Amino acid sequence: MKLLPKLIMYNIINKEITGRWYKSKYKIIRLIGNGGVGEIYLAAHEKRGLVALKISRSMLSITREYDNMKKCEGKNYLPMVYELDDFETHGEAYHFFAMEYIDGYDLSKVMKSDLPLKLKLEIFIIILRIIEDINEEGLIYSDLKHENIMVDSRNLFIRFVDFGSLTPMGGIIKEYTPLYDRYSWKMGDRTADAAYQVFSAAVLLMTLILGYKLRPDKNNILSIRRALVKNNTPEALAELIEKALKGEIKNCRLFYEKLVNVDISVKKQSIKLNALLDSIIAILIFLLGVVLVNLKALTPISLF
Amino acid sequence: MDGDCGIIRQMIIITDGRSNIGINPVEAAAKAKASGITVSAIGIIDGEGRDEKDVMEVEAISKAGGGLSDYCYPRNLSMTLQAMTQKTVNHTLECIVSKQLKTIIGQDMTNIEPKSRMKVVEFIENYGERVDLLYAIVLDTSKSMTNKLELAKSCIIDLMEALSHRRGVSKVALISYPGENSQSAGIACEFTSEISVLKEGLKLLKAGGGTPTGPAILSAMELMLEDEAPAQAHYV
Repeated sequence: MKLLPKLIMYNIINKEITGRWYKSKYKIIRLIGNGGVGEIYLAAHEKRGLVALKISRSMLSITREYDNMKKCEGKNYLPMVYELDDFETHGEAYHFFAMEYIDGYDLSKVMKSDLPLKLKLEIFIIILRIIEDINEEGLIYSDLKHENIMVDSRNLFIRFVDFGSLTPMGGIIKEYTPLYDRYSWKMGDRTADAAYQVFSAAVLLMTLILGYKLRPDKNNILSIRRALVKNNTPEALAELIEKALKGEIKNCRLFYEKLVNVDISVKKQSIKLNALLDSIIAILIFLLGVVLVNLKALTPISLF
Repeated sequence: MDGDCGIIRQMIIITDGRSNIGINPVEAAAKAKASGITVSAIGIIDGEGRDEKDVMEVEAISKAGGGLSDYCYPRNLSMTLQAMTQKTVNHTLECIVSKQLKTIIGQDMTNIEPKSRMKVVEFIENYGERVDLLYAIVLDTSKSMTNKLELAKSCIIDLMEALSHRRGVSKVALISYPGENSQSAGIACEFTSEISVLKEGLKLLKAGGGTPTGPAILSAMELMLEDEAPAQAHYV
């Protein structure tokens, strides 16, 4: 989104940087991401091999994010985080942490794919369990979005990659993306509560099902419902998403329980389809019968 | 730290172009910094090709003003403005705490081992929520802003709404440039904590004219220094 990534200007690509405190050497390979507080680079470390470095001018946000990731250490839904350090280039001090490099793709690829609904739901349920786990620590993952959720192509694990937005429950949400933000949809404020998280998760699910994003400044909850219906989303699922957006589902645990029990079979349509097929077959048999009768009736005449 | 809670003075410039009238804005930002005000800037990018000098000016202003700079597309303005506000408050506190640490333990924060920084970070975040804030928004209302003005207005109201949740007092003033009757800048709204007052001030704003960014920074600075808060409390 930035016109000039501020670090690229200093051209650290292909340069080697050395951590000021722990003396690790990293050769910067390329820019792989651009977050709210800094940039993420692919780099080569002498012992660890490929790693991702998150680099920023802001000591506060880098230290905060590193600490957030350390708190979740050991969970398999986030990259391993190695070390926090500083380096200097062109007379400016930068702060960074090194983490495991996730080779994969982000969730927008899943959104755009034509995976069957059942599979998309299964992926979403994994994501929902991860969010639930974070919420249980008393934290809200406020900047939930496709770009922050990666599918690791080696083992197909789902990994969350940006931990800068974790906000203690009851606090004020400061990092968000309008599409997933309750306040931008005028459905509530930016207090970090469990229902805020349910809202953002429901938007994520909605975009996964639809395969495209809706703009909160041009749409409302009604238009989401309409878009889902148009998309042939099973009625029960569309209703559940609407409830979640309206704040009627209190937390992600309840959302999960309701979601696994929701009936997504498309009975109505299959009944209609079967009925249609049946009637077509019936008509065909009838016509065949008519033709046969006519043939029998005609045969003696033609013999004459 | 002098005073029981202290006050932070910040100025943010929202612009979509390069200044073309009056004092150099970089010089004006340096003056503001010298009087204890941090100056930051957001550059709005809209599809039309902008030349690099516009971008450089936004960076140069924030550098001289001791603040931060960022660019965004119009649709991201609201979030950028809020993120920027929080970041600059924390950034200012970071500088102040770092100075304080230097007098206490003889070294600043960058000289604390990374592993031990978390305590300081927590302190700053907590303090950032409680400290009183005087915030001057300096809004470019030159002709090129015509199509973006309504959006900028709603973003400013969003920001005020977000600030109202802080634990400390937040007062916002709005300076628009150019001002009316060939003034280089006008005060659309004096320092206030009331969203309704700010809305009234915003209502009257119209786009048109040149881009006297430098003179506008000086006007905002004067307004800020006039405010009844003790003149010595530039720092926490």
